[in-house]
Amino acid sequence: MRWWVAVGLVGLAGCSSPEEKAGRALHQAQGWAAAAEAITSDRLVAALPAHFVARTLGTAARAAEAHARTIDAVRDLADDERRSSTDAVRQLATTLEASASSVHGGQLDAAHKAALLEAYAGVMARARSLPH
Amino acid sequence: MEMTGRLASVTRHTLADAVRERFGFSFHVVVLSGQVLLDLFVLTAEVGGIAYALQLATGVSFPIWAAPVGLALWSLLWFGKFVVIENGVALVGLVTVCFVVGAVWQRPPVMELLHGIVPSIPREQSLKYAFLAVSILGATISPYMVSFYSSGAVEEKWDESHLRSNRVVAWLGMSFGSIVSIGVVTMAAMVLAPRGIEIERYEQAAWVLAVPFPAWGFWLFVASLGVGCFGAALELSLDISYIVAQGLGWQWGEDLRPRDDARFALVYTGALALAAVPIACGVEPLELTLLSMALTVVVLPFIVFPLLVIMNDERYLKNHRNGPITNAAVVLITVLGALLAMAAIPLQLAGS
Repeated sequence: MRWWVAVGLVGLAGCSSPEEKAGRALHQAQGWAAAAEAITSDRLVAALPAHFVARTLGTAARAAEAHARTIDAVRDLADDERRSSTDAVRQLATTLEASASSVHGGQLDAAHKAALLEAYAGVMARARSLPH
Repeated sequence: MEMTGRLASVTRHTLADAVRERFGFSFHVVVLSGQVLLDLFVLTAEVGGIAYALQLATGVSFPIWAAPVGLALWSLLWFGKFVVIENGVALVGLVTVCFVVGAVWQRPPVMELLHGIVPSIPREQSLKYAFLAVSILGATISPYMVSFYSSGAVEEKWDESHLRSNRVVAWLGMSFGSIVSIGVVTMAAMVLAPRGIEIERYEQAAWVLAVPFPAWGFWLFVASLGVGCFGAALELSLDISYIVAQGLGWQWGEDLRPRDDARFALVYTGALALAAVPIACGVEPLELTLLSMALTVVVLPFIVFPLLVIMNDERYLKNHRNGPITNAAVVLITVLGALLAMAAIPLQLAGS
């Protein structure tokens, strides 16, 4: 019985609200930001190969940009909500891209780290306001 | 696995042999075609996994690694013996114990861990979690393991004196795999979930070990991914050759020289070449892995039900037939898994 209910729930889960669609994209972008913050921390950055850190930041930037486009495409979402969420995620994508270039060029400096943290906080604030 | 080992020990038949003999060639060729296609799909995902591990280690993009990986696998199959491949894979596969050690190291809350044993569907993202559950189920009970195990038992000339060791090997092997899986899920829950990290790429999966163990966690993850996928790719390539050769009545055996079973060697050569192509073209290995594991669960009933019929046939198993509890457990897991997969896969594909 439990499994039939599960199958039913799975079926229902296919229909998600605009808030849920945008919320999911925001939370995934937040996940990338959290990971970027972790691998650029002093504790980890020295232990990981630089190519891995740079590539991960680049991948994170592309993923964040894709999530920004997803949110922007949710037309049923209130305009203010959609715009500010899209901007927050796009800001994260830009910061991640800049950080990736910085690592490629040698080392990630304090200004890039601070910008990354700020963009992370911005996405986190938006993610709190939406379900996922 | 225990069932096919028992089948091989008592009858000296591999699963493919027995299915062809019991159900006829026309039925067998349908099952065979499905299993070959599925094995090829999973093999492609495993080749992708090895290539991705090499990308993580070197920084060189994974499509470039597709051909060298295919060549390395082929060389080992062409020049290696069954026992070397079997024992080598098992030995280096022990590196995956790092996930279990890591999970214990993280000190997960015991009550929450025990609570997680009871199956449940979370309110948020229930579709995604159902799809993941199906994929994990598929990774745990892949059809290739079933036919590979019976072929290996025949290669090693098992007889009824091996029934006890078959039971021990099957139980230990499956328990080891399950415990490592629990370790991986526990590590993800302890390291990724609190940070809100959802895995979309293999790079993110590396953080499961890299974040708690900065000095060596990343390299252990790379080794686990590479070694695990390499072992599975060897077994899958051999399995495709085994089931095709047994299904069509060809000479087969990894211990024979390629010139003595040329068609057998030709099949794994072709399979590896085919599997390397999508990876060389840049198909994303993680998505391919999840989808191939989920498809496995859909195909599983078509492999398991003929096996069940044979395992209850007195002419084959004599007094070593299945008991009612084994039959019921296998039917329940297979049918429920397939139902969940049939619901989750189309919705996941449509929704993502």
